[in-house]
Amino acid sequence: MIRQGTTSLIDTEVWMPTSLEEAWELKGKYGETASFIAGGTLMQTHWAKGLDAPSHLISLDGIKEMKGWGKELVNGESYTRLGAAIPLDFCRQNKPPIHPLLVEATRNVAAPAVRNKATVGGNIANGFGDLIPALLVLDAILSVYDGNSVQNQSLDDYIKNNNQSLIISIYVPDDQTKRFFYKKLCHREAFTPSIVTVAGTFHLHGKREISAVRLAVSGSTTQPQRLYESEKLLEDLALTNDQLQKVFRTIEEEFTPSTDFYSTATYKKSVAANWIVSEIARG
Amino acid sequence: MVIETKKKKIRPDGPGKVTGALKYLTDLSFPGMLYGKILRSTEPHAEIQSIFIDQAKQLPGVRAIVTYKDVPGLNGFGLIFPDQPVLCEDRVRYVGDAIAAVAADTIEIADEALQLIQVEYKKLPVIVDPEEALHPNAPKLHPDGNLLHRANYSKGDVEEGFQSCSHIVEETYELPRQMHAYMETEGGVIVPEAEGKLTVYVGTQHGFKDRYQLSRILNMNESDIRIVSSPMGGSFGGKDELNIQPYGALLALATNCPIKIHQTRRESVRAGLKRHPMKITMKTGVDDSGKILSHKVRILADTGAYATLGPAVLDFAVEHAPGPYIIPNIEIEGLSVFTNNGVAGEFRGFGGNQVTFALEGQIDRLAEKLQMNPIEFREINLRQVDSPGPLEQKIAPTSGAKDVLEAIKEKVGENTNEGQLSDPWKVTGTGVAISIHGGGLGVGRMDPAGGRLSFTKEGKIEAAFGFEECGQGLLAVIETLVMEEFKCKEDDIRIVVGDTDSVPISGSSTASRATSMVWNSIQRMKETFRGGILERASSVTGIPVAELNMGPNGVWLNDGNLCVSYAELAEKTLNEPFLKVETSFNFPVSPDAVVDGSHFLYAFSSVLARVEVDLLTGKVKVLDLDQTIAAGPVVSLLGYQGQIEGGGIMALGYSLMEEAKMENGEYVNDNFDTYLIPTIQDVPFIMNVEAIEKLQEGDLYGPRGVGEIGTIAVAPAIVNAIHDATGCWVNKLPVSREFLLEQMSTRGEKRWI
Amino acid sequence: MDMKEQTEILSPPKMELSLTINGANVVLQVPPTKRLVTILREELNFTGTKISCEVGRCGACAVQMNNQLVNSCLVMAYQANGASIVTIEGLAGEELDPIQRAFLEEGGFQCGYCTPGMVMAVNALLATNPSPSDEQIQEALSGNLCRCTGYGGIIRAVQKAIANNNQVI
Repeated sequence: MIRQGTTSLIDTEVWMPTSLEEAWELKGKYGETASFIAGGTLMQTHWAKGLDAPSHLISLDGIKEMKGWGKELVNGESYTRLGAAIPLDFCRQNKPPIHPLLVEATRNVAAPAVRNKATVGGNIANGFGDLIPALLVLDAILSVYDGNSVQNQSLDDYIKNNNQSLIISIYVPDDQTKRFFYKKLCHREAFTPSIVTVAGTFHLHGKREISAVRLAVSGSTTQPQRLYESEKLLEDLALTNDQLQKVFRTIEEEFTPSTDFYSTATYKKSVAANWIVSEIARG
Repeated sequence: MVIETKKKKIRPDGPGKVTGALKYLTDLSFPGMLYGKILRSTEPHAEIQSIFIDQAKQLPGVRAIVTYKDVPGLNGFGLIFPDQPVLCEDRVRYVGDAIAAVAADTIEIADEALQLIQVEYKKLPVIVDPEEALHPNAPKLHPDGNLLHRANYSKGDVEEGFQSCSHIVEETYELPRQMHAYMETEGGVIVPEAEGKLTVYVGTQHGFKDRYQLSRILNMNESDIRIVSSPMGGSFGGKDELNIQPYGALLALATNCPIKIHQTRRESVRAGLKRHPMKITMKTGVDDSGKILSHKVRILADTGAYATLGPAVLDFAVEHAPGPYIIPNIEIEGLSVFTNNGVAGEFRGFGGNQVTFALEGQIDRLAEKLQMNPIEFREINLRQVDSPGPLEQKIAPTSGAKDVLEAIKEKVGENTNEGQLSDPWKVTGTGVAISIHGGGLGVGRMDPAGGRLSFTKEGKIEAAFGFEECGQGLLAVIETLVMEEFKCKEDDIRIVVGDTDSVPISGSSTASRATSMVWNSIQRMKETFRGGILERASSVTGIPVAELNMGPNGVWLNDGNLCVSYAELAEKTLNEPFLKVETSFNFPVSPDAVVDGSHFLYAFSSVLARVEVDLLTGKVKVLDLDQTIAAGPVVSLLGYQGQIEGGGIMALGYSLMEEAKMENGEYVNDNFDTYLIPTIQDVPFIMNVEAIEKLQEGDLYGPRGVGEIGTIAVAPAIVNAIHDATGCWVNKLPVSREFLLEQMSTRGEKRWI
Repeated sequence: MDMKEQTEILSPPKMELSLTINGANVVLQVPPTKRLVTILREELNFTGTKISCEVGRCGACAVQMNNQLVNSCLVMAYQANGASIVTIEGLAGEELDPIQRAFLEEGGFQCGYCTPGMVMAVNALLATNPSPSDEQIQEALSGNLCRCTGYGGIIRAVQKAIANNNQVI
C-alpha cells in the first residue's frame, strides 16, 4: 500500500531521553517499532516515499555525550572529536578546525538548509552517507555505545560488522601530511544523490613513490567499500604508466557497485578507476 | 540588449511575491473547508472489477466519497476529445487514472480513507512502447485503436531529391519525457455558492475552457460556474488541461462545503502531464554546393493514455520539421500513439523542441560531411524575408531567421574559446543552433482574442483580459502597454485577469500568444477609449478635445498643466453612461494555409553554447548559454529576459538531466530528489540575451510572444558543442555520461603520467 | 455517535509546542511529529512559506530557525520546540528588506513561488557573509530550486543586494 502524506507518522510518539542508558532502554522496550532519530532529514524523506514510519521515535537531541567537539589524543596522536549530533554544516564551515578532506566531503552533502539539520552521526549511521568514504580513508575512529559501555572502534570495523550500536563521537585524525582527494559524481552539480564517490589518502615520497594508501568508494545505491587489493598493489609502488594501468584494472575488478535505474555498474567502475588513478598520477 | 530603464520596471505582482503576502490559490482557506484527496490507479492497465468504499466511508471525519456513479454529466475530459474518464468505471489506462475522491475534515483522514478504499483489478497487458502499440495485435486502449493522430506533409519528390544528393545523413533521435516541474503543484479551493453555483479557485491557462469542461462534467450551466485562475506558481503548459478541478467540484457539491485539494509532488508527478517522448528519424540530403535538396522525416510520439492536446502537439512538430530552411523536397509523417505511459500533452515548445533537436542535429552532421562551417551551411539554406512558411503557407514577412543567424555569427567570432584549461582531463567546445517557432493556435482552430478597457467609478483605467498570470509576467505586460499608450501611471490602472466572471474572452494563455494579443487588443481599443476619456474631460471642463491629452493622474492641457484628474473626472461623470470599450478578434492566421494548425506569425532564436566535458566521467557542464531572439519589440524587459533565460535553463535540464523515466508504466522518479531539474550550480553564472526588436516595414502585428522560443534551440546547441569538444555525436537526450565516456574511453589505457 | 467524539479517537498524542515566530511567542497543542511547514501554513496562516516537494529538496519552505536556514518540511514540531523562527513575513519591517528590493528591481522571480524560500536563503547567506564570492552564492542557494528564471535574475538580484550592502557600509 502506498502511503501518502503524513498518515502513518501522525500517530508516532516521540521520546526524549536524556541519557544513553535511557535511550537504549527505550529502544529495547519498543524494538522494531522504534527508531533513534537525530536530524531526521533522510528518515523523513523515506517516510514521504512510503516507507513505514516507526510508532516510536527516540530523539537523541537530549544526549549530551553526542554534542560538542574537542581536540583529544588517541594513542599519542592528535584527533578532533566530533559529537555525533554535530550538524554537517558545522563541519562544512570548518568551525571545529578539521581535516580539509572532511570539509570537502561535507560540502558535497545536500545543501545548506539540510546540512544545518543533518548530523555527522546520522550520515554514518544511514550506511550510504557521503562522509563515509572520506572518514574511511582518514582512518577515523568511532566511539559507540552498545547498551553496556562506550567503546572505540575503527569506522572500517563498524561498517564491516554492520554494527547496531549508537554512534556517540567520531574521532578524526588531525594529521595532514598525507595527500588526499575526494570526488563525488552526481547527475547534476549539486544537491543530489551520489552515483559514485571516491576518496583517497596516501604519502608521496619523491615524485613517484607512494605508501600508506587508503582508497574508499561508495554511492547512493552502493555500499561503502575500502579497496584493499588496490591499496596493496599501490603500496610502496614506484609509479609508472604500466603500473597505473594495472591499478586501473584492479580497481575495476575490486569495486562492486550496483546497477540502478540511472547508471550501470560498469560505468561506476570506470569512473571510480579513472578518478583514483588520475588523482594518484597527479601526485 | 539596450536596457531602457522605462522598460526595466518593477512588476505589479512583485511586492506580494517578494514579501510572501501574495495569496496563491493553494494558500486560500475558507470557513468550514474540507480537504480532498484523489485515489489514483495502482495499475498502469487493468480492468476494474469492483470498488468498495464502505469501509472508508465509516472512517470518522470522512464527509463524502465520490466514484464514477457520482458524475452527473459527462464522465470525461480533454481539451480536444474528452477521452479521459473523470472517475474510472471499468478500466484504468495509466497510473494517474482517478478512481475515487474523498472529502474529509483533515488531510490525514482523507489519506487514511484512500487506503481503506478497495479496488479489485484484473491486470491487462501493459503497452509501454509506441511501436508495440501500433502492432495490429496490440490490445486496443481506445475504441478507435492506438493511433491518436497522424499528420502528413509532402512536397516535391524526396526520393528523386536524394538521387541528386552528394551527401545524405540519416539518423534517429530520441527525446525524453520531461516534467514541467512547476514549483506550485496543482491545487486550490472549490467553493459552493448560493443558488447552486460554484467558484473554482484553481490555476489554469484558460479559465473559460475549464468552465466549459466542468459544466459538461457537472451538468451545470456555464454561467453558474466561476473560475478564478490567477496567480499560479508556474504552469509551462502543464496546468492547461483540467487536473484536480473536477474532483474538488464533485466533492464540493456532495458536501456543500469548500474543498481544498493541493496535490503532493508525488501525486503531481503521477497524474500530471509531461512533454511527449518522441523518436524522430530524419533523412536529409545535400548537393555539393551545400543546398539541402531532400528531407524525409518520421515522428513517433508517445502520447500516453489519453489525448489532451496530443494531436496539436504532433501537428506542431510536423510543421516545424523543415525549420527555417528552404528545402524543395519534403516528406513528413507524424504519428501520435496511445500507450499505458503517463499522459503527454502541452508543454512549453509544444513539439518544437523535439523536432528542432533532430533537425539541427542533421544540419551540423551535414555541415561536417560537407566540411563546411555550420553557420555558413545554414546561411546557404536559410529562409528569406518573403519566403513562405515551413509548409509553404503565406506568413508575415520577417527577417528574423537571418537576423538571429547573423547575430550568432558575430558571437562565435568573439568567443575565441582558446583559454588553456588547467585540467588535462577536460575539453571544451562550442555549438550553435537556430529555431523558428509559430505563435497562436494556428489555422483551422478557434483562436479568439480580445480585451476590454473601461473607466471605473473610482477613476481608474481598467484593463481586463481573459488571460492568466502563471508567472510569465502578463500583468507587467498589460501595465506597461497601457502606461505607454495612455502616458498614465501605475496607480491610474487597474488590471483584471483570471476570473471568468469579470473578464472578456481573450483565448488561452498559451502558445506564446498573450503578450501579442494584449498589444493587438490595445491597438484596437486605444482611439475609442482615449476619445471617450477626452470627450468626458471636455464636457466637464468645457475645454475642446483638441487641447487635451491623457497623462499621469488625469487629463492634461496641451500647455502642460493638469486639466482634470481621473478621480475627479469619474466623480463628475458618474451619471454618464459607463465608458467601456471592448474588442474581439481572432489571432491572425495565414490566408492560404492548407495544413491544420500551421502558423502565420513566427519568432526566431539562435543559441550559442559552450560546454566543458570531463574525459574521466563524461560529465558535461554548460559554461555559456547565450541566446538571440527575434520576436519583435520588447514590452517588458525583465519579463523578456526572464522568459529566455528561464526557458534556456529548462532546456538545459532537458538536455543534460531531466527524464521522467517509466518502467512498465510506473514512474521511477517521483519527486525532486530523483527527478532532477537544474540548480543554481548547473547554470552559467552569466547568460546573455540579445533581443532583435525590428519588424518588417508595415508589420501590423506588434510584439510576438516569447514564452516558448527560449527553450527551442538550446538542446541542439549543447549537443553540437559536445561534438565540437569530443567528436561524439549524441542522438538521445538527456545526454548520457555513460554513453559519452564509452565513446571517448580507452578503458584505462591512457597516458596517466 | 457524535462526529466530534469520533474524530477524537483518531487524535494522535499531542505536545505543547512553544516557539517564537517573527518575534511573537506562540503556544500550540500539536502532535510532536507535525511538520513545521504545516504548522506555519495551516495553524498560523503564514502562507508565505510555500510547499512544493515536502522532502527537503526544493527550498520553497525554507525559514530560519535559530538564525539558521532550514526546510520547514523537514522540521518536526518537537524539533522546533523553544526555537525562534523567522519566516518571509518577518523579514520586511516598515520598508522592504534590501534583499527583497533587489529581487524586485532585478527580476529575481517570475511565478514567485520559490521566492520566499530563496529570499530567506539569501538572507541567511548575507547575514554571515556580507561579500560572498560567486561560488559561495551558488553553494548557499543550491538547495533552492527555481523553475522559471533560470537563476539569471536571482544572481543579479543577489549581486545587487551585496553591492548595496557594501555601499551602506
